[in-house]
Amino acid sequence: MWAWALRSLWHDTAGFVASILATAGAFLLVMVFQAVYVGESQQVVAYVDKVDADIWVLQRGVSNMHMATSYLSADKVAAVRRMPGVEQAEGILYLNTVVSAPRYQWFAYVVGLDSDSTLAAPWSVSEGVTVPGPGQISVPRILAEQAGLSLGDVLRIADRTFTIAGLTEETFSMANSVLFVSRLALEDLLSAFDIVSFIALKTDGSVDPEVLARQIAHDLDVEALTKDQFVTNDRQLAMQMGVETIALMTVIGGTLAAVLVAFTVYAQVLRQRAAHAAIRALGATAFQLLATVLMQAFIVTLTGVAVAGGLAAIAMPLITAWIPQIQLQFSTAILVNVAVVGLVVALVASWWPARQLIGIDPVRAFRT
Amino acid sequence: MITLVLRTLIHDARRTALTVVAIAAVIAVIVILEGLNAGLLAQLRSVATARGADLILTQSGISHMTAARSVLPQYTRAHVEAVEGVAAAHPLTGIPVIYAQAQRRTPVFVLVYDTLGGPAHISDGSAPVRSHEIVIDRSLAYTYGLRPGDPFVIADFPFVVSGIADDAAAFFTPFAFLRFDDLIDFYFASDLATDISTFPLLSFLLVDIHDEYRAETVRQTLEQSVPEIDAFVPGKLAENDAHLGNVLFGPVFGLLIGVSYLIGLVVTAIIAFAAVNTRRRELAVLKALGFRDRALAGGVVLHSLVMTILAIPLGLAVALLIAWAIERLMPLYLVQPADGIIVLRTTLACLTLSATGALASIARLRKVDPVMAFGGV
Repeated sequence: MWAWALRSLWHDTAGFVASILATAGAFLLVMVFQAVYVGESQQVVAYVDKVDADIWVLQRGVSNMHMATSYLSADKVAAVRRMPGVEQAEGILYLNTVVSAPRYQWFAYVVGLDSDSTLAAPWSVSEGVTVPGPGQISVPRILAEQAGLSLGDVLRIADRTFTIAGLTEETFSMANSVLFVSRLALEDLLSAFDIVSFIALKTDGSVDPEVLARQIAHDLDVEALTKDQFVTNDRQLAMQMGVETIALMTVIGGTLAAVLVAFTVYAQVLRQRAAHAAIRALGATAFQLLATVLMQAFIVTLTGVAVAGGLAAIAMPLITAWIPQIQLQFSTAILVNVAVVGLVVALVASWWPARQLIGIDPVRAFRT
Repeated sequence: MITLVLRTLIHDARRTALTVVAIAAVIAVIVILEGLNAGLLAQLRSVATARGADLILTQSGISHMTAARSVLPQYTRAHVEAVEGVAAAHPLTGIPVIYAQAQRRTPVFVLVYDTLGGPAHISDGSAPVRSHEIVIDRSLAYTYGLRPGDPFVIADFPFVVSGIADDAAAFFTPFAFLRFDDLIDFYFASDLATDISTFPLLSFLLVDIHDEYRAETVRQTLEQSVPEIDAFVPGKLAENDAHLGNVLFGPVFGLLIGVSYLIGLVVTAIIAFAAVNTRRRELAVLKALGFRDRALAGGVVLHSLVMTILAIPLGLAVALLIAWAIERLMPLYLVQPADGIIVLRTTLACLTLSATGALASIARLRKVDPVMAFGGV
């Protein structure tokens, strides 16, 4: 009986393959969306993750960099440097704003660096300077390529112009690219002097970063977080912003997949009404018939998930190469997530065809 | 042929219904994705248009209200109000903050207003009147279970929710509204209390113009007279914000909508294929009666088109239902599936896909042997 159920799926090979492809398409939709969010969430934390700081100091009550505002008086940098166990501390100014090129505009996070910055500066530079001087700016290489810009070209932030002096790697994201300018230039732009947004600090290894962070928070009346905590906070924020959207797309894609699988299995049941009636007449129970429908639904669904996974693994690097604005991050977790959705889809999709089978009359076998 | 196609559809009504549902599901997904994209852009536009000003002034060089940091010197207001045609200039400041409760955090864009620019629609409670009151978008209220009278703490500073605003979100970020006096208190409670001039105090000016003046004339005069600002009619600023949204999110929505259309193509191909497969004997009879392959192929395409035409209203209805559910359950999102252009574009695209998908079954149709009509296989 199981063998027959399998063979009957394969009987109409072209129809079966087409059903798998349609179902795979619906699952692919969910996977692409999840991959976009995971990719973007990785990029959101790229700056705090890549900068080699052990502790980040923020305004009291602030615990994120992503989409947050933090102001500290500049003398806090000196105070942090005086703390025992601190090897290096650098203050940065930080601004999220729109950056304009002649034919291109995008949203970016602009980091203002001191001229002697090493800790908070870009960690990977493909061309040009590491720390921009007055009137200079470092931009992600991908962004420059997208906008047709190169070293020496001019960008605008508000009414100030900056000359591109460096191209950086690992700093591009669809909604969160990181650009670097000098801190003085950013102070001037913000009309905000002698302040910093965050302080990045490195310990000399003699103290536990968690202990030092608590000490700094207590002594200087600020927020101080270890790098891990800071990265976790920003990643959580990004994922929390995306979690509703991911759930929404999963429900939409999952429902579409359920309808397509139901259509495939129902078409199968309709085509084989006579065969099902004959099997029933030969003594098969309603439960056994239901089990065959369920099995067919699971096969179509899980094969669809597997095909979608394969397509995703092949297509996502190609999509990222073709549309570099979209950072896709495909992972096993996404595949497992979609497979679980697939199991629910198979169960839901079996319901209607199963109802048709329960009512099948064995006498039909002798009429056809 | 039309009669034959219609009779075939009616003959197996249950199968027709399921097929229509499958096509409608694909149409609904496409329309929802298009509607989400349209809603995102509409939210971005409303940031400028819902402020109730004749003109909006930004820092020179800033041409967006969302996502850009605009900082205007305090004295700008007096300079603007001295310009001919200007009735009043109302201050407005925007500051991004993070609202946290337990382990959950949400970025919030706080609009600080004085006499204009506050929440456009308050569905529960009232605008801030007493000290430290704040109006929050309904998505924040829904997510955190907040109601008027509840505390709302930002960066350790306690506000009290006075009202819940409708449609006050953009860029996946809910908005909150408070008065200038409270902003000063908020700044004084921070690390930089000794020098609050370092904080953003004025981001935009909302300008009312005298009735007898034209907005464009006053806009040009303002740009010439006050070098610190750029002046926009709200519609222009709204379009700039929508354009930025399109640059940032257009590729993702384009990709997702593209995948949806691809699914639509495969689905219509399956349906046409299945229709030919299950009606082989019937098609064989027609061939035996002298129908040519071309006429039968036309019938298959027509069959597919009729089902798509039946599915379009159902798909749109399902999309409207899903949009309603999304806005109820996830009030941060605005979905606009009923947009005329979206409906027209999706209808035309689905009919084209339907015809294209049906063509995939023509090879199968050609293989149908008229002998089958007489009992052969």
